Amino acid sequence: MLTFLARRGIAAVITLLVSTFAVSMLIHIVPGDPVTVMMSQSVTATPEAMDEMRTRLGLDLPLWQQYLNFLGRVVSGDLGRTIMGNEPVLRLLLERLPNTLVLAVSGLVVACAIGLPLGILAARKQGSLLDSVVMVGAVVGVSVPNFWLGLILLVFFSLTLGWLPVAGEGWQSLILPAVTLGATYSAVIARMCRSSMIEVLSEDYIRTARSKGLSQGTVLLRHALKPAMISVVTVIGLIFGYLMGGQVIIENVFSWNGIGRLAVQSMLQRDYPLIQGFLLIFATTIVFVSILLDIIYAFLDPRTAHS
Amino acid sequence: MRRLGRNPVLGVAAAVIVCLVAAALAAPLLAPFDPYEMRVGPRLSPPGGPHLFGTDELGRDLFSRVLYGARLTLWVGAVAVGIGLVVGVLIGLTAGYIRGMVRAVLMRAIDVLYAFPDTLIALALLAFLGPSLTNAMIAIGISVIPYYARVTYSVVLVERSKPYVDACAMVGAGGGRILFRHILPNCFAPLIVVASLGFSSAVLSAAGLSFLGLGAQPPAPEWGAILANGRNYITRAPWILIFPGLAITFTVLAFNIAGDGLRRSLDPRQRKVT
Repeated sequence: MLTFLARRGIAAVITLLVSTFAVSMLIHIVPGDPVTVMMSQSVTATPEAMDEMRTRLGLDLPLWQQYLNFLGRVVSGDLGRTIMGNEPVLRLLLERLPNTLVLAVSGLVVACAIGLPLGILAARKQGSLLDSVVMVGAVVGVSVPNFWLGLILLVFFSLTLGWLPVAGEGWQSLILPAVTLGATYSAVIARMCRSSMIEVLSEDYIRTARSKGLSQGTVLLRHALKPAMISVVTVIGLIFGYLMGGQVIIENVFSWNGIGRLAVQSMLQRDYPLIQGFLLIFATTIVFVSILLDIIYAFLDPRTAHS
Repeated sequence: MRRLGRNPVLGVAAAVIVCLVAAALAAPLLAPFDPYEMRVGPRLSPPGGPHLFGTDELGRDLFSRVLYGARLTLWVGAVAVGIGLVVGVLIGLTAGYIRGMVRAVLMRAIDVLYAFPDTLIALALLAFLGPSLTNAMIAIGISVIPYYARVTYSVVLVERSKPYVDACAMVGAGGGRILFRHILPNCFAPLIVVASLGFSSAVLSAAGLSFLGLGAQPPAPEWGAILANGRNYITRAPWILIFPGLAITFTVLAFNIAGDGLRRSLDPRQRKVT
């Protein structure tokens, strides 16, 4: 198990190093001079201020030195300062990160609460009307743009019925964005759970369990669910990653005060240090989620840890 | 083709796609108004009369804008899938055929990219390239390269070990000829499935980016941009939200069903599972 974790840790470090390199070099794909583009909206954009910004961002150094300086600052916890307000990027992002995590976890809980039971039921009743309804619903679910669904729910539940607030920070403001995210990804979980359960239910040991007279519930929940969950856990992990990235749009729809909303504001304002900070925070979150997933795999299938 | 013909759902999805492409191509003939012309009707008027989908805040006909938006949407999907397909297949072919450091470096880079949501990669690229529909197409295309690279790579790994490849090499065929003439055709079936599903994903991504203001810019009649605008009139003119949203949904649904149907028809393992 320790060897397994060590190998995953090394892979995670490589991924983070590649991510820091990519993020630090992204500024060079800006058409034209990045400092001119960045400061075009600033009233203090004098030639001297622009030269100072170039020095501050290290853009006057060779590429390899830019990357090493960037890496050194990141390791020491310095993600730079925003262009617009000259505020520490890390502090801004960490202030809002809990809101994003709350929304991502809430969305994931809703997605699992809807998707898992439906997937299991559809697998149990394969070929029935329920199975068809679940499958059609799943295809439609992944086809509906989640930001459009969010707007429709906003119009109906907030503006028309007045049951829920349009925006805010309390638990009531969390319901609509969480349901929006959860509804979309429940379709993915339902499909994966269904196909995974069907595959497991066709195994010989399940046939043996049935022939021993075990109830359907016992067969499903005690014998089939755990091996079926390996594929489902993969999807849930991927969904968490997508939630963290994809809820950038949902945070804007519902004015949710997370890092996604801050990221879009920074992109529209060309605040590159803030954009880079957002991407790094996100990359780090993805890597940690991947390691957590691998640990869960090792629990679900001990052969994984020893392979 | 016979397998495809036995799948009625795939047939319906294909028909919807054909209608969508036909409507997009015939937009100048079908649209009753110029999609950019303002005050062709009362501002924010509901659906009815000459304005099938109503009008927006500048008095532009929404039906005409949605119709012309189909052209932009199909174009975005085609370019994004094209970029991802061409670059991804080249990377997958190279990594699958050439062993050693080349394979290790290429697939490690692809695996790192694959770990991140394509929406986020597209957002990151767009943040630095600048907001525009062209940049959105390029950003989405780059973000989906890993999917095509991995599919191609896995097929090449299997095919490379087959006797016909050794036979080709023995008669003097070069690596390029073996790759493009003999191995690549075996990648077509899975790539068609991925491309079909990738098209719908590109449409959703482009609409989302335009909704955020990072993709198509006003006054382009791109569906996501129309939704972004409609958000400001959410209570007064909900039709500005409804029709473009339905258009995106039906387009994505058609390509998702087509992709699923193709996967069931072309994958021998899937044909056994109902």
